[in-house]
Amino acid sequence: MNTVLWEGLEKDLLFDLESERRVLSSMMHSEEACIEGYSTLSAADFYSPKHGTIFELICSLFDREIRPTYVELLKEGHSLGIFTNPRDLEEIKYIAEHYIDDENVKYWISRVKDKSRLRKYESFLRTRYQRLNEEMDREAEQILMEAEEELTNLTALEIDDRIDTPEDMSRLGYEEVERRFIRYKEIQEIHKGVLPLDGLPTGFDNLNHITLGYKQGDLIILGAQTGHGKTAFALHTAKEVAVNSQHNVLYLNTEMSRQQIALRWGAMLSAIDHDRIRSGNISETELSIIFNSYSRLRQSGFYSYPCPNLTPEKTISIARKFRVQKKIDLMIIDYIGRMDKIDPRLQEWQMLEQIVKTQKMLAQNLNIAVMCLVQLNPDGTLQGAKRMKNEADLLLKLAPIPREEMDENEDLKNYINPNYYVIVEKNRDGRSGIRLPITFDLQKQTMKDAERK
Amino acid sequence: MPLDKNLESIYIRAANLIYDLNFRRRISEEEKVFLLNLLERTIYKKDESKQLEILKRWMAGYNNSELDQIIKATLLAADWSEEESAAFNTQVIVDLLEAREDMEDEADKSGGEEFE
Repeated sequence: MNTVLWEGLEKDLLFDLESERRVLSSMMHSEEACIEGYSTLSAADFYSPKHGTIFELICSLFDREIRPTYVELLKEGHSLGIFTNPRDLEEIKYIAEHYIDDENVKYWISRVKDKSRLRKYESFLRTRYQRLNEEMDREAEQILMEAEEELTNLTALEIDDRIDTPEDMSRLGYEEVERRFIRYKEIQEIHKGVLPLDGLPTGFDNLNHITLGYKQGDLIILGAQTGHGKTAFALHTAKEVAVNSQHNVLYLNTEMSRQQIALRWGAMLSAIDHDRIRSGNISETELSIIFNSYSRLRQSGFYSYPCPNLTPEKTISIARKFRVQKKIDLMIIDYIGRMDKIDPRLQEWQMLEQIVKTQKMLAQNLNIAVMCLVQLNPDGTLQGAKRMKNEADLLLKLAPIPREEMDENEDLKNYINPNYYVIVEKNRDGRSGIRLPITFDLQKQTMKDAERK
Repeated sequence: MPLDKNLESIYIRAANLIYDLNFRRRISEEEKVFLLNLLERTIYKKDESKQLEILKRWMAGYNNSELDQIIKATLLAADWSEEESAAFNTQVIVDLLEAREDMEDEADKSGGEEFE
C-alpha cells in the first residue's frame, strides 16, 4: 500500500522534466532568462542529474561572459570531460532542438523550484518515518519538536534565508567586536588616529569620516535640484571608487548619451573646462593631457549603461548580470525620477517608493552598495521623503550654499571657496544632520572637501 | 536573439556532425574546435564572409600539396575570435592561396609548352 502511494507521488508530484527542459532551453537562448535562472536556481533544484549538469555548464559559461549556445556547451562539456560519448549529447540536443521558446521563463523556474521543495518535503517524510521506526524509545515531544523545526525550514524559508541560532548570533557578535577591537588598535598604531573605511570611499574625507564609506548592502540616496550637480556627484563617486580605488562600478544613466558621459570624464580627469572640451576649443597640449587622462579611465572599473527606458525590473536584471560577470561593488542610478513606471496607475510618490524598496532589496541580496539619485522639489524638499528616508541607509542632499549664508556664517569664512553643502540627512551607522561644505567646480566637473584656511 | 527554427536545427545538426566525426576519429581535436568555432561565428555573429570566402577558394583548388598543408596549419593555429589576429591570418592565407595559384599557372604553362 505504502509503496504504491510513494510511486504515485513520484510520478505526479515530485518532478517536472518538461519545466526543467524549458528553463534550460530559455537560458541557452536568452540572456534575460540566463540571469533569472542563474540568480534563482541551483543544480540541486533539477531532478534530472543531466539537467543539473547542463545547468552548471550554462552557469559556468555565463560567469565568464560566454553566451551558452549549443556549440559552447559542447566545447565546455568536452573540456571538462563530461561529454565523452555522442550519447551524452542526447539530452542537451533534445532540449536545444525542441524547446526554443523563451517566454514565461519565470513561470517555468517557479515550477522547477516548487518541485524541488516538494522533493525535500518527501525526503523529510521518508526520513522521519524511518526514524520513527528506528527510535521507538524516544519521547514523542522530542520527536515532534525536531520534526517541526525541520518542517518550518522547508515551508517558511527560501534556500538563501537562514535563521541565526543563539550560537550563530553569539559567534557573529564576538567576531564583530573582535574586528572592531583590531581596527581600533590599527587606528591608534598604524593610521595615527584616522578611521579606516568599512566600505567604498565617498570621495570626500569628511563624509568618509562620518559614514566610514559606502558599505555593502547600503542604499544611498542623493537628492539635488535640477542642474545642481547630481550627475557630477555620481561621476565624482564613480571616479573615486572605480578610478582611484580600482573597484568595479556600474553606472546607469537615464538621460545622458554615451558621448555626453564620456566627455564629462574628460573634464573630470584632465581638470580642463567641460565647455571647452565640448566645443573642441582646446590646445594641442591640452588634447594630449586629455588623451593621457582617458588612459586612467581605460584601466578603471567603470562600466556605463546608458538606458533611457530603465525600469525597476530592468535594474534588477542588469545588476545581477554585472555582479556575476564584472563583480561590481557599487551601482549608481542616475536618476530614479526618469525611470519608467511599471504600472501607469501609480502616483509619482508610489512609484518612487517602489523603486527605492527594490533597490534596497537589490543592495542586500547582491551585497553591493546602491546609490540612487533623486530630484528635489524647487523648495528643497524630497517627494515621498519619509518613505525614502525609511529605506535609505544614507540620505544625502547636495545644495548650493545661499549667498546670504556665505556672508553671515562665520564658520564658512574659515574655508577656501566653499560653494556647496553635502547634507547628511540620515546615517544609519553614525551622526546625521550635518552639513559638509565642499567646493564644486562646475566647469571642470570636479568636487572636493572645502579646504580650511 | 533566438535563431529561426530551421536555422537552429541546421546549427545543431552541424554541431553534432562535427562532434561525431571527431568521436569516430575522422577529424582531429584541433579540426573539431576550428569547425565548431567557425559554425558558431557564422551562425551567431554573421560576419565571417571573408573567412568563408578564403575557405571556399582554398577548397576549390585543394590537392593536398605542401602549400595546402601550410594553409591548413595556419587555419587551425590562428585565433579567429580576435579581430587583429583574424585579419593578419586572413592576409597570410590569401598570400598563400595566391602563391598556390601562381604555381598552378606556372605548371599549366610549362605543361602546355611541352605539348606544343
